[in-house]
Amino acid sequence: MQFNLTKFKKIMKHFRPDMPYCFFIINRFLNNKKKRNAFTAKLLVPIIFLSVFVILSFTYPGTLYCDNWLKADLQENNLVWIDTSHWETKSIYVSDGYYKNIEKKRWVDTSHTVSQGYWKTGEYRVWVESSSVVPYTYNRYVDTSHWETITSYAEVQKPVFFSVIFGTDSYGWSVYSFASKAKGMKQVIYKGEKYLVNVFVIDYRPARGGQVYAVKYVFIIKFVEEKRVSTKWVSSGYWQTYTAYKTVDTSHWETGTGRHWVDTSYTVNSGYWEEYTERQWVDTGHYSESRVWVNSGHYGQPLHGKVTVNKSPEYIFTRWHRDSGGKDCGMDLEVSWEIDNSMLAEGEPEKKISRVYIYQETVRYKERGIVKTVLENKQVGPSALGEVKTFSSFDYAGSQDSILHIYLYALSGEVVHVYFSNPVNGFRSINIDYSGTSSGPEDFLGGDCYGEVIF
Amino acid sequence: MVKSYFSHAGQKGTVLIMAAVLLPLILMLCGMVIDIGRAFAFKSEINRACMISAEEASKEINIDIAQQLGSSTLSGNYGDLINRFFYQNIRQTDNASIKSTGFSVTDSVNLPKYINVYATAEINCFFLKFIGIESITVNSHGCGRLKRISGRQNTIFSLIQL
Repeated sequence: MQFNLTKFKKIMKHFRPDMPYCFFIINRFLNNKKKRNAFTAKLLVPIIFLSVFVILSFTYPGTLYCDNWLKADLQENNLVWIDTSHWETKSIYVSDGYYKNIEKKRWVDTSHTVSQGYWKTGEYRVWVESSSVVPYTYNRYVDTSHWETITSYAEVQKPVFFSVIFGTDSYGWSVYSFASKAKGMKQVIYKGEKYLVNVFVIDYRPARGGQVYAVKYVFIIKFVEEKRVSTKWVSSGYWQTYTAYKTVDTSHWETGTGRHWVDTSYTVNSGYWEEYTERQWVDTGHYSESRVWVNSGHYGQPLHGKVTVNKSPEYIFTRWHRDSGGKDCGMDLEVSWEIDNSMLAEGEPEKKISRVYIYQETVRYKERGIVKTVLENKQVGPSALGEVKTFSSFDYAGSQDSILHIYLYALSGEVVHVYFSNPVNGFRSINIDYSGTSSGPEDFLGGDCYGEVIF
Repeated sequence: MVKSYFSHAGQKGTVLIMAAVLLPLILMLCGMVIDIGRAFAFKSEINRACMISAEEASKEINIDIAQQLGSSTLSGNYGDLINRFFYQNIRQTDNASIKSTGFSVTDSVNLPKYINVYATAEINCFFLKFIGIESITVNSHGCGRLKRISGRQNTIFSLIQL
């Protein structure tokens, strides 16, 4: 390809700096009618194909990891629920019981008092109730204990600082202070107050004659008398004698004469045993061993590998039909697995399948329920590569909603769940009107026999 | 004395003559009813046999092909099965005989819609032979079809064809 400068200049004439290069090219093409048609064809055809592909992809989405027949609910890096639900025998308390009639006896007391007596004339004794008030001497202790207020005076010392000079003034003392001598401490009374003072004396005879004599009192402590009040508990008391009064019962028997009532009443003790029926609850509650369905399970990490399912025949029939050999119809199933351990982390043990659980959920017609048929449920020798072959027959026909589940359990707890639609066919014959029918011949459901799923 | 116009004196024995003339006619009528009734009863019997054999034959499919291809292809012995079930359901009697049987498969043996079974029988007459009718021929027909068990409601036609 040679660079054509003239052509390039022609092209660049149309170029605008703000236009992206691709649009520039498109613009150039569109300016030419022939090239425009060719460009339109080149552009639209891939767009149409792409649109058809996208629409079909959304309309008929395929399974990411397998084909449409065989499915796996494993997803990359997602935990998988491992259903370990099972029947468990539990001891459950059953509340039960019944009412029982019990014959009992009870004593019915019919004792009674016969009130009787008679009037009699003569002496009789009668109880006279009386009382009198009698004085008596009683000693009691009168407690006069009390709190007493005690006032006391104490001399306290307070510091003071002032001085008093006798014989000169403060100037004169400062002139002759060199001659002052300390005479010690002394208690003095000054203006009626008692002080402790330091005494300094100047007794100087100057050369010019005469005598200088002065005394200075430096007051340092003042004695002050302080009043102190305190309380004190004083225990005191005395015994007091006083006159008290009490009531004395003076009831007594008195003998009277005249007509009086003689009471001869008496009590008759009698009764009988009465039979009665008591309704009593007899508790027969007991613990009963019963089978309880326990929902349990856990999440496991997904495995990586491949599961291959080989089913024979393609169309499954119930066991009520016989094949050409006279045997009951059924299904041969071969499940093989190949675990990919190449992506294991260093030191991680190799993943191996140790248990296989295969069962079919046959969805019966006319909403007659779902029948579960266990094809295989056994422990296998742990291996990363293995297979299981089973043969099973089915009692009931089932629709295309019937699902065959394959669970592969790994030693390390992971689980692979592969499933596919596995309808079970059954047929019978009917009489129809002699004019026939326009309905076509019957086809059977199924048709899949081999599938692989990579997870 | 005037002789009554309505005198029966000259008609004595008329009833006897009438009875002698009508009795064979009445007997013939009764015999016809009996013979035709027998024919109807036998027709019903072979109709039942046709239906049973058609029904049984229609489910005689090749199960191996059904398991492999999912289609209902008739097995090779379905014709024998028709005959077997037909004659098993017919009472052998001296006065009636099956003259012919036949069957047909609508569409093809590989993809059959339904099976028709035909039969023709001859019933010997007891009374009608006195008037020259030796026997009555009856025809019957049954139709059977294979039905896959499904959730759809099936209508079973019970045919009694006379």
